[in-house]
Amino acid sequence: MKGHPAAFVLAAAAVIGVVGIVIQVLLTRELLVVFQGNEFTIGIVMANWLLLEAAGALSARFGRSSRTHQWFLLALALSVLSLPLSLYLARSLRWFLGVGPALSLDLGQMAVGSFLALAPACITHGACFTFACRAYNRLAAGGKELAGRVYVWETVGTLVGAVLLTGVLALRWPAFTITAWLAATAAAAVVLAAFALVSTGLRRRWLAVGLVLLLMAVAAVPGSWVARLQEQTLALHWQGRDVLFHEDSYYGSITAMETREQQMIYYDGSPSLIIPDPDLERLETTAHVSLLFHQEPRDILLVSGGAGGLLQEIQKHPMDTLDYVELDPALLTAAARLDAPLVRQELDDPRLRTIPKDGRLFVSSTDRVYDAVILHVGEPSTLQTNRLYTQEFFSQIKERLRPGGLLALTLPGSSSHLGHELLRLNRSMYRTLDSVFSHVRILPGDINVYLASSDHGLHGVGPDEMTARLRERDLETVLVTESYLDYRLDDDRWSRFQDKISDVSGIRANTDFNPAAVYYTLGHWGAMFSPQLQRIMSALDAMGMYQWLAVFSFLLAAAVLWLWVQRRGGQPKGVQHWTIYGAVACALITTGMAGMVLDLMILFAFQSLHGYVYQAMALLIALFMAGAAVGAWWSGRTAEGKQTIGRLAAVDVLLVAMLAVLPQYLRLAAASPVFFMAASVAAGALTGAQFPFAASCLHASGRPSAGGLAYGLDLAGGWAGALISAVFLVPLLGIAHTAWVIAGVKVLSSLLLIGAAVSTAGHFSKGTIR
Amino acid sequence: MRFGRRSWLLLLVSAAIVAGFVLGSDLVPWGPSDPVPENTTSTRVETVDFPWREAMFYEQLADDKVQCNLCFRECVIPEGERGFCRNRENIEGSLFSVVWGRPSAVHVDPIEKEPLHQFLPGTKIYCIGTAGCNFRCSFCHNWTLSQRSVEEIGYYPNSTPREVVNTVKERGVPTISFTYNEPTSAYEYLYDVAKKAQEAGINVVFHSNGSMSPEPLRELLQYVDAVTIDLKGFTERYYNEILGASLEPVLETLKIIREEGVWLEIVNLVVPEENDDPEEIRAMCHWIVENLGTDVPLHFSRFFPNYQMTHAAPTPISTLEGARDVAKQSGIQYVTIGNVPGHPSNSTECPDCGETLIERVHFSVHDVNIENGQCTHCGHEVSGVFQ
Repeated sequence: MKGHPAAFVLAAAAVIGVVGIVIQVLLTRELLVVFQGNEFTIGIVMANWLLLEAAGALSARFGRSSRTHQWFLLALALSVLSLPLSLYLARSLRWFLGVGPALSLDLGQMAVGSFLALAPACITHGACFTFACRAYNRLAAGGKELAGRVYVWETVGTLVGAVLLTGVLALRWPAFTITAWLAATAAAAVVLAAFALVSTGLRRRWLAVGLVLLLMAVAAVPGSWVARLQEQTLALHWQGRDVLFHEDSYYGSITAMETREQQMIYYDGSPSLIIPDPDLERLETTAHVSLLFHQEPRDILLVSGGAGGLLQEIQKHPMDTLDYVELDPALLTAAARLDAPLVRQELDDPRLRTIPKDGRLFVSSTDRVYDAVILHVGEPSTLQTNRLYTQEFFSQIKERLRPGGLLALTLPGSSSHLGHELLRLNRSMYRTLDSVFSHVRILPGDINVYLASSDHGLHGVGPDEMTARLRERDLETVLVTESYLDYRLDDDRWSRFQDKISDVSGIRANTDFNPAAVYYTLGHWGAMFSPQLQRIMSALDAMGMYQWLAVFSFLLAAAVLWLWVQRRGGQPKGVQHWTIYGAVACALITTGMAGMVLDLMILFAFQSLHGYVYQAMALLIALFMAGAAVGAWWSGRTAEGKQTIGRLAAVDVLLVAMLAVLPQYLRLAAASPVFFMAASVAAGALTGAQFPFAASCLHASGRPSAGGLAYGLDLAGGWAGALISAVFLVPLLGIAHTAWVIAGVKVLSSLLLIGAAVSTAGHFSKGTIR
Repeated sequence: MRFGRRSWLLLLVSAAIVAGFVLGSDLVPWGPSDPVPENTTSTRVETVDFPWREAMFYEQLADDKVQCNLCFRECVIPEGERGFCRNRENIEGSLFSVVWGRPSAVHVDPIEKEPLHQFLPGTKIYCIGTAGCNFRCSFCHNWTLSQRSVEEIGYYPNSTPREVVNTVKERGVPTISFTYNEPTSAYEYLYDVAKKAQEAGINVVFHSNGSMSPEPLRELLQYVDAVTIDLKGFTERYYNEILGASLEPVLETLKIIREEGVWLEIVNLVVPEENDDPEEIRAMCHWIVENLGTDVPLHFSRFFPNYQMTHAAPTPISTLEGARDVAKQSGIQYVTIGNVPGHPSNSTECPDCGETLIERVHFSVHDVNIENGQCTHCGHEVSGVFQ
């Protein structure tokens, strides 16, 4: 029964897909708890992931083909063990690096640490795919390259895994429990593959291995050693601190600690809540310095960061309603679980309405109006957080303010010296606010307070008036007193800071599609932890469009020239092989980049326009994978046995078109989530469609294990896309221009493909070059 | 696959459309954005358009090298290079201060912010900070100054010692303070300003990490009225690992300031799990009592995450209160807690009757119950400078 063993390989490929996506999301989350979760650290983790997968995929191309099935079984068995190993390393990384819980990790430690932690899982996962391709080709291909079919099934598995993440798993189970389930699934694949792929003599041996692994994994799920690993790695991460509890929500990781009478909540590894003695300077400044600017704020909206003292400070003002929007309801549950009087009191206030929703989504969908809106979100260090600091969001807030209403937000500042990088961030925020509101006032300090209003004469309010309101409202404050207000509003004291911040020449405003604030925040982070990174970012920033266009023009000219040479054809067979290989490799790498950028663009645009909703994000990712599976399936059917470089070039051109026009349509499609879903499927389909064509071409050019090679190159492209696009290009150029830069790169690869097609025209036959 | 002329034309037109999108969009930011100053930490400075002050307390060595003797590091600096603090450069075998007359932060603040609690309470100070520092504290609040060179962060012009003193006189501020970053690294500037200020009847104080070598310290103290010293911890391990420095020189500095009769106050920033061990604090307090006396005010400050220590927990209040109690049990008369606005120990109490001598909330002084240097409740002689 020839077909059945091959079918097992495809089933195993689906298992590889499921395991891959779930462990990727799990490990990424764990590492972001260890690191500071900004756009750069996300990029490092993604880049290391893809690099290691590519290494695994490419290295598995070698080795005797007669032992392919055994290598495949070995890789599957190793993946069972590598999953918990990577998770253990990731969760206890600080201990292994010798860095205490108080210090932030620098760039080198993050890069090396994430590389080592991800290596076991990623390398085995990448190798599994390549061995699956090789095994399938041996069983079913008859000399052809059918890696496309394996890719389809692997993509289907990824889709299933993405669906599991939205529902059953949703990352709310303990990490080691989820990993045990994944390991059991992989072990089951070992057992099935042992039945199908190896001869009777070896079968018993591999069955035994598979069954042992399966039993271990299954026993682990309800077993105490999973809980012990969970506790042990938590203890290694926090190194001696007293952990009260830990839980994972849809949106983040929550850890509660206790030191003497002080309780703290860490959200994704960063301090979020301190009780019973919070940072009063921060809280009183945020609440009172802003609300005292309003004559009588009756209805107030607070976006994020309220529990743990800020709500209490705001509630000291006589008001009618206080709407508090917090994305992650688990944070409030955790705060309540601490059973602290401060939290109980503020959450029990009858004027308070808690809304567990994305702040952007709430403001765009509510019809309530407010006298004051306070943003307490944290620095715009990620594209996700940045959405709450953009022109577009400020415009939405403006619509929700009553006449005389004001918006207040805070950013890090300094009472002694505002560093260059932090100054740029503050200037960008001032410029952004100024572009929306007619009145903007900065109150510099260790915490810079920004006040913005359409019709409130903010500059006319002085310390005397604020002190009078302080007394009228009978506010019981500790820090914000008459003398503090005199100091904080002393123009002589702060005029230099105000002048510097309001000088916005050469500074970009922050918009949804041009997240300048992320760029400036990363620059500030670089100044603290990585001066080398900060220098790279400064150099890129100094590059104007002239330089970018000059580089592109040069490469375009070189590609056109090469194309002109190729049109003659007639090169020797060896040269044709390298021509095809080079062109297809470029196409795969650049498609990997393009796929990453398209996916990022769609996800990010959706978040900006419709809010951050976990299930919607997961759905879009799943639709992208579904599109990739469909695209790969279709092209796999048409690619088999035929010369396909022309079709590969056609897909490339379609990708160029999509990159060039999609940003404009995304902006226009604000009203329609359906458009985003369709765009995800289309982007995935184009990305996936290239793979079978590419694998077929590589096979025709004489590359061994073409499927694994294509997979590895695709991953390498994704690595470049993750690191370069997400970290540098999007914050620097914005989404639209980043897409155009990648489109330009794809144009070059299209020309290379066309040239390769021309040079080998008439020389392909029956899947090889004559 | 054949490519005819029509296909070529189609391809070139498509490429032109894409290029046109890029070129023609008015969203394209033509030209470079505002130029970013070059990061040039500790390298030769090209702009020498400002008179540089030759350094004090250095010696010339062979091969045009110099040894700076200003602090415990005693940097040996080759020609064209700078010392650890980034502020002293060897130019052709002579050492120069690159921050003399080049302050990067100038503000008027309450004196309580130093903190100086028993030196002219409730008055203002004219604060000056420059770039540079000879420590590498991972929680530095003013790292944008201390961990940078003057070229990276810029400076305010028109700030020679004469100009500074004239400005302070015009503004009617009674005291000049060198603070924010480590003034040791701007020694000559501090020294020259202090001399001029003394001539003009203006007080001079500075806030230091205590690493100055004895000889320059004694020379400087002739012109200084008060000093706040950060006694950041009491183990060499803490100083080595967290601060990149050494404890012994700081202890030596404290003794010298006391010997010279200059008013002294000590700050200890309590960092959880790093220097908050009660026995370590007890040892520190005993040392202070034995070597400096019981009337040196000691301030325990609450730590908050900052700079490279963003994952650390703030200091629990009970830890600070425990440190305060240990200090009082050791015999230290004046102990306060800082960075906890509204805490009763923000205020200074009379060591005799326990009544509030100086009522304080954070940096604001609400009441002073001291008259002619005595507690108005019981008449106890209060240490400090009140006029």
